[in-house]
Amino acid sequence: MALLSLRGLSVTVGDRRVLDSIELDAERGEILGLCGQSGSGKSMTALAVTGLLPDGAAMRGSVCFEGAELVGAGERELGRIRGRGIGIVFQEPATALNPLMTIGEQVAETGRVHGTLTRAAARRLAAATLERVGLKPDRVALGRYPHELSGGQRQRVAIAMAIALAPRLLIADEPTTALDVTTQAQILDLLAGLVATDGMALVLISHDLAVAAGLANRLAILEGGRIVEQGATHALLRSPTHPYTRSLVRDFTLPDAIARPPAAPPALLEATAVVRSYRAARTGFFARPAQRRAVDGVDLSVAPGERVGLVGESGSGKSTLVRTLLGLDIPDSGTVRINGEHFGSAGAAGTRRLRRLVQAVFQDPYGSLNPRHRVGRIVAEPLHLLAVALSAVERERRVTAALTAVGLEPRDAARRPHEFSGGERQRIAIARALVVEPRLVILDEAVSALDASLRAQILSLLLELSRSRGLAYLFVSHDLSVVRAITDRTLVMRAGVIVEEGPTADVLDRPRHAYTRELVAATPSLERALASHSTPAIPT
Amino acid sequence: MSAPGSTGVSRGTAIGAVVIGLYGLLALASLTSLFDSGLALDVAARLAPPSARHWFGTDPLGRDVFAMVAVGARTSLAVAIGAVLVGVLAGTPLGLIAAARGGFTDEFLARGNDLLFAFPALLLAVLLSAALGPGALTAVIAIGIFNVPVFARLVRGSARALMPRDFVLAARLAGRGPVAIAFEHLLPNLAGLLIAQVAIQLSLGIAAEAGLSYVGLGAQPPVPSWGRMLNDAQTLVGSAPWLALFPGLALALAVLALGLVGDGLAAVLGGRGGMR
Repeated sequence: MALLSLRGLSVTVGDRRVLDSIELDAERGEILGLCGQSGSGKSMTALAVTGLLPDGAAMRGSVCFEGAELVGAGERELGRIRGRGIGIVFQEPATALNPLMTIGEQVAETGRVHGTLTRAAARRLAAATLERVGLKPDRVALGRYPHELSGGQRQRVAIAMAIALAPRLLIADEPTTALDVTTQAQILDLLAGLVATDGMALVLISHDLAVAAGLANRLAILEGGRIVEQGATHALLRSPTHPYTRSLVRDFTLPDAIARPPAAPPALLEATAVVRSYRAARTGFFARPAQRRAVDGVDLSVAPGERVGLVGESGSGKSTLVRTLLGLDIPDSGTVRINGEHFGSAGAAGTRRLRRLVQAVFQDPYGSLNPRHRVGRIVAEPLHLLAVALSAVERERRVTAALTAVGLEPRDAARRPHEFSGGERQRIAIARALVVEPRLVILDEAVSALDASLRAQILSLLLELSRSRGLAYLFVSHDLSVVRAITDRTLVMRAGVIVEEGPTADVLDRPRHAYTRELVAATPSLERALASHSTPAIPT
Repeated sequence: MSAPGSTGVSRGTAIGAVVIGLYGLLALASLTSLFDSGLALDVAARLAPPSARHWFGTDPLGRDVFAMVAVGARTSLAVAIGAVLVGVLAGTPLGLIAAARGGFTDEFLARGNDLLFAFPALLLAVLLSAALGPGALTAVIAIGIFNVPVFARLVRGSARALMPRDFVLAARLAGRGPVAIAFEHLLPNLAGLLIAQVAIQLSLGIAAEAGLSYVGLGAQPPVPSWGRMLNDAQTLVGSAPWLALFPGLALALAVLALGLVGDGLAAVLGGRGGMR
C-alpha cells in the first residue's frame, strides 16, 4: 500500500473549486514532482495533505497516510502527524524561520514539541540534523540567528526542522524558487541525498518543469485544480499525451536565438571602467565603515540592434550596474556614454534626450505600474521626455500604436493595472518603454516573474519587436535558458566584475571561466534531466 | 493581500460615521435661525432642569442648553476642520518634498518637524493669543500648527516606502522631476492613509478646541463652545449637573465617534494606501 494516497480529493474555497478529484500516490523512497503554473493547485494539494487549508476551505474525498484517514481528523491528530510523519519545507526561508530564535533552538524545538525529548537530547538532535543538511556546528554555530545566514543556509535550516524527526514523507513547496541557481542545485542535491539515505518519500512542488524533471521519478501535471497527466518522468516528458503537458514541455524548451553576425561599432551604449561602491555596515563603533564595491570596473557596450545578455546571481551587482547605465545612479568613477554623450553633460535637456534613446522594463509587473493610474496615462508618461509637448490626438495615437505593438487593444488604455494579468502587465510595461521609440531597452529580469507559457510569449514578442524595429536589448537575467533564447552576446557578472564575455552560444556551451561552468552546470535543463533519467531508480 | 470580507467597514466605524453625520446636521442646523430663540436670554426660565420644553435644561441666564450644545458643535467642528486643513495643506507637501528629494532637504524638513512637534498646542495657543488675541481663529492656527508635523511625518514615511518601487523608477526614467513624482505618483497612493489620519486628527482637534476654550483661549463669548460651557458649569455642578453633563457627553461622543471612524478607515484604506 502506498505511503500517501489521495482519492477523489476535492477542495472548495467559497464557491470556487480549487482542487478537483485529485488521485495521487507517493511511495517510500520515491520523489514525486507536482508541476503546473501558479494557481493550478500545487500548493493547495500540499496544504490539503497537511490539514493546513485556509479558513473557509472545504475538503472532500480521502487523504490516506500510512493507513490513517486524514480528512476529518482532529487538529490534535493532524498536529501529531505534521512534524513526526510529514515534514514540510516552504518557498521562502526568510519567513519560515523565527527571526528571534537561534537556528539550534528552532530545530531543537521541533524535537521537543513533537518528540517529547529532553532539552539536552533535543540539542544533540539539532546539532546532528543541522550537520546532515550541511551546516556543520564548527562552521555554522547553533547560536546563529537566521539573519546571519545566507538564503541557501536558511533553507537548509528549514529542511533540518522538517527532517529532524525522520518523517516518512517530506513535502517541499517550491523549496528553491527564492534561491540562486548554484544554491538551488546544492539544495536539490541535498534533498535527493536525504531521500536516498532515509528512504522517505518526497513530494516536490515546482513551477519549473526542469527542476522537477531533474529530481523526480514521477511527475503529476496540474492544471486548474486537476491532474491532467501523471506518470514516470521520462515517459511523460518524452511522449506527453495531454495537450497541456505538451504545451508546458514546449514552453520550457525555448529555441536558441538564431546566430547573427557580430554587430559593428560605434556602440549605442558604452560603459567604461564603471565603479560604484556602497558603505558597508560598521564592524565596530570606532571602525571606519568599509566600502563595498557593488560594481568594480565594468566595461560593457551594446551596438545598435544588438541583443546582449548580462548574467549573474543575486548580489553580483547587476541591478546597481543597470541603475548606473540608466542614469538613475551616478558611478563613483568611469563613464557611461549613450551615443557618445553621457548623463549630466548637457543638463536636464541632455538627460531627457538620452532617456529617449534608452528605456527599461523591470522585473515585477505588479510593482512597476502605478496602481492608481489608467493604462493610457502609464504608457504615455515617457512622452514627457519629448522636447515639445504633443497634442492630445498625437499622444493618443502614440499610446494606441504602442499598445497595439505589444498585442494589447487600444481600448485597454482606459483600464487600470489591476484588471490585467501578470503577463499583460508586463506587456503594458513594454509598451511604456516603446512609446518614445527608444533604440535600446534594458530588460531587468523582465520575464523572471512570469510562468513558463507567458515567458515564452513575452520572449517571442520581444524578438519580434527587436527584428521589426532594429531595437537593441540589454537583457539582464539570472536564467541562462532565457538569455540563450534571445541574445547574441553574453556577459557573465560575479561580485561586481565581468568574468566572461563572448557570443552567447560560445559562453554557454563552451564556458571558459570556472564560475560560468558552475552556473551552466547548476542551471536545470529539461534535456539534461531527460538524458539522465533513462533508468529511474526506485528502491524497493 | 486582502482577505475576503476585509473590504467592508466594521460596525463601530459605521456607528461612528452615523454619529458624526448627526453632529454635522446639528452644526448645519445651527447656521439657520432654528436655535435663535433657545439662545435668547430668558431669566424667568433660568436653571430649569431637563424637560420636554428644554431637553437639556437651561443655564443661569435661561438659555437652552440643547441649543448651546448644537451651536457648540458648529464651533468645535469648524475649528477642528480648519486645523486639519492647515495640517494637511502644509504638512502633505512638506512630507512629499522631503521624501522625493531626500538628502539635505529631507534632513532639514525632518528636524524642523521635530522642532514643531516639541511645542504643545496649548503653549502655542497661549503665545498666539498674546499676539493675536484669543478667539476661534487663534485656536485654528494653534491646533493647525500642531497638525502639520503629524501629516508631514505620515506622508514622508509612507512616501519613502514607495520611492524604491519600480513604478517610481519608471517615472524617473520617463523624465519626471521630484515634484511630478511626488504629486502624481506618491500622493494618489497615500490618499487612503491621509483620509484615515484626517478623521483621527479631527477627533484630537475637537478635544484640543474644548481644552483651549475651557481655559478661555478658544472661541470668545457670546459664541457658545463646549469647553467654555464646561468651565461655566463648574461652580453649579452640584445644583445643576445638566450644565456640565450634556456638553461633556457631546464632546466625549464626538471624539469617540471620530476615533472609531479613523481607526476603521485606517484598517480599510491604510493597508491598501501604499500597496498595489
